[in-house]
Amino acid sequence: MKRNILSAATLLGLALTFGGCAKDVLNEPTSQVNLVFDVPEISGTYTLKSLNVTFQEINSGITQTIPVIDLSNPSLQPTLALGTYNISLEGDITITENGNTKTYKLQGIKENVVISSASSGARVSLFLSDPAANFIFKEIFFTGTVTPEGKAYNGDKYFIIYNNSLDTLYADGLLIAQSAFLTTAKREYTPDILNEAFTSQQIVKIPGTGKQYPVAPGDQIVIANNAINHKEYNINSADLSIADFEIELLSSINVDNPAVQNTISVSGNMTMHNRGFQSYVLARLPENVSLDNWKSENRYTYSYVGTTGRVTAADGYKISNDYIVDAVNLSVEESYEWLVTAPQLDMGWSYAGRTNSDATRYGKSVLRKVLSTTADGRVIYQDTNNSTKDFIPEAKPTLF
Amino acid sequence: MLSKKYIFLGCCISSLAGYAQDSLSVKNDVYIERHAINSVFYRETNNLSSLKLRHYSQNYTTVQFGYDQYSKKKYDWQEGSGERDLTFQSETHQILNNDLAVWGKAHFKSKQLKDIRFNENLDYNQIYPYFLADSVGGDLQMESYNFGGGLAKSLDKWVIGIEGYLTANQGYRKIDPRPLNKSTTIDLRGSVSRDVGNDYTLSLGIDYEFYKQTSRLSFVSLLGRPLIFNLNGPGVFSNLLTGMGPSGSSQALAYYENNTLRGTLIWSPKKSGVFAKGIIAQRVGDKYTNHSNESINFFTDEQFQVDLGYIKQYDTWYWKAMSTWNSRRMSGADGLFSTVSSSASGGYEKFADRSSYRYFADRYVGTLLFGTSNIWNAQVEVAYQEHQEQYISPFRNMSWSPLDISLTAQYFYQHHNNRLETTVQVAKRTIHDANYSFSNVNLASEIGHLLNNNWDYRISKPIFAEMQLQYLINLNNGKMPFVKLNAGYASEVELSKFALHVGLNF
Repeated sequence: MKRNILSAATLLGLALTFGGCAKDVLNEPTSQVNLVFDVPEISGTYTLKSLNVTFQEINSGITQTIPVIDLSNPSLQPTLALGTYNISLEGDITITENGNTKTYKLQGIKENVVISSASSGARVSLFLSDPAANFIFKEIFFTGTVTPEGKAYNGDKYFIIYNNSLDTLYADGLLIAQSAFLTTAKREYTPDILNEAFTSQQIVKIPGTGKQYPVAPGDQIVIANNAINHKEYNINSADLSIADFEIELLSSINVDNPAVQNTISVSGNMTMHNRGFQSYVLARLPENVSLDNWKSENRYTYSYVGTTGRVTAADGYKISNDYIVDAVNLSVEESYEWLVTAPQLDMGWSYAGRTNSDATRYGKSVLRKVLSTTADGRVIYQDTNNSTKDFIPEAKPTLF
Repeated sequence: MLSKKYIFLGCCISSLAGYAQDSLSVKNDVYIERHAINSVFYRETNNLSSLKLRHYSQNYTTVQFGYDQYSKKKYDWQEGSGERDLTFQSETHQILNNDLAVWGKAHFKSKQLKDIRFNENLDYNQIYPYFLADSVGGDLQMESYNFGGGLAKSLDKWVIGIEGYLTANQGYRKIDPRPLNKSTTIDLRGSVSRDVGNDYTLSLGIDYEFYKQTSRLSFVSLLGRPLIFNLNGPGVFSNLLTGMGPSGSSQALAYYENNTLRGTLIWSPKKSGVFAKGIIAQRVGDKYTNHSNESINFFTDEQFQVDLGYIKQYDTWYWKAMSTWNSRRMSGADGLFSTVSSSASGGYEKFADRSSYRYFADRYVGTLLFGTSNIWNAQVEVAYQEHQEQYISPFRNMSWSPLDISLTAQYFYQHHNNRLETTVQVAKRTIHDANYSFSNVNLASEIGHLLNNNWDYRISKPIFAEMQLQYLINLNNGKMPFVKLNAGYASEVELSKFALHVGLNF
């Protein structure tokens, strides 16, 4: 309305100026933008591939892309039309450290950046992520604790499984398996299936119908041995009644919390080795494979010749390496002999004690290292399939 | 464009049939005064209220019912392929004491607008190009009410005129997508005329028009909803404002408000002499949606027109020559928005306006009328237009220059006491310098089809022919019923039109 009152006032002036009838030219107003990237600390050398910054103006939907060829001077000065932009950077970065090479995604995003003046600035934090990310073991607490009286306390062990991907994943049906073989005792198992499958006699499964237990990116679930408040019995322990699931242990040591969903015992009773001689995998069967069929088709009988020449045979299940989403080898430096997983699953191992029966191992876990943190605070954990590098050994348990 | 003009002319002609006098000769004179194309031309060029004292020499009142339809096979998707109208019109013009004229009218139309796409609004010409749109569209049912009147009073050498009109439209569709549109136009006009010597009159008029439209688009079916666009240019839309509105909205809303100021200066001969006219007008408009409390578009539409002509009247013969230059400059701007978490602001916050739309048009018209007004009239008109339309982002440019040549002939036949009017018109359009560039548009998309289709329609070159027959029966009791038949056809766009009106003059 105000403009119309002004119209009356300008009408006369318009009459005087309209005679020119000039056709004014449409000029897109632009801004010189100083775009700065906050680059995460990268150890080792790296090469970049297909690294581009994309500017999407959300009013018009117009997108333009500018390549980035160097991170040593992490800034760009594009000229952009005024608008509101979603600025994203994405590309591949191959990092080589200590002879190991792995390719990550280098990403960054800043949304709703208003460019409204002739010069403006924006800052985008970059982070690394693993394109093959999935569920991972964030932490394995396998040592247990000791009471103030110095007695071993075993029921408070746990796993923390973390969604390290960019998508919501479902925990339903995940298998957690403990290796049948010890990393401290290398044998020539026959038949040798190490490069095809992981051998286990103790397997539990997370229940669910398929989409019953969603885990958002950056969220985690806790699978406790006994999901109770252990502090009531051992002041040195933790309150695990907050666990999402609990494992049904041997009846002699099992304490059931009816408020916490039990895992399904697939094979044996999971008894986590408190010196860390056994390894663990997370696996998921294909959708078209039922657990019963898998069990009937993957029974594995193996044997080995002992130092006395005696042949020992045993039974277990073989979990195809193709089904395994994460693997963590554990051992102790003093006794380590071999990896019980195929090296493509895990080419290292972590620990919570340096010697066999190390009395200082209690109350310590293996905890995965943080790789990067996204702009919205989501933590991305390192997962190079090398537990030696990916884990912090002898870490303080996060639930304590 | 041609069809619109002739529908308008047809309505004018049909609605101005009748008078309330006693003698046959006077009735016939008034009838011709209402219908002769040179009289219509006179009223259109001398269209200020203070000049309406001279529009008619006799009183008249008319009531009529009509059925009109037209359809096109090639058409602007946003205007639709045709219309079917049922109309009721009542008008009167009374001259009191030779120094006071009063007039009034009441019109009602029930319309069905056919096959409209990418425009879920009413009143195409008021809000173009800022439609609330989807790719589905469909037929639109519409009711239109128009009331108004005015008076002109002579005070010595001065004549003062005022008039006001109210138009209310409602449009809706009862299947998805379901628009419910309501628009109101208030048009207030004032003018003053003064005799200059014995032969000329100088007139000055000021008009103000307020227009608003509220559009609500909803769906009953939860499945298969098309995207809702807020168009802000020729086939361009805001990505951010696409959709129904803030999260949880079940309706898309759009609100338009336009204000127009127009000044007119006329130098007109009482009988013969030089005619000159200047018009300057500015229309400004805003569009709001439920995405934000702030306007998402606004435009300024400026028009400047100069008419120069010469009129020569003999006893029964006349000729009129008129040249017109009409120049139009329209500029539009889009709001630039960012997302905000506050729902109080509608979900988006405007931080700047970006000048983004231009429309330039210049129209040069030469008109020659001649004839003996109570028997036959003829009109030759040549109109050359230059149009250019631009949108900045993504940049697109369209320019086209149509040349229209039309010939109209009219004959009044006396049949006993009755009168038969025959009007024939033939017109041809050619296009010069048609260029377009659409950048960054997926021409395989529905938006791309819209652009291509509408462009093809704009540069069509039809030959148009129309005939109108009107038979007026003199009942010798002051009442004169009439029947009017109108039919027309245009090539290329395959326009066919038909109208039948019956009414009573008294």
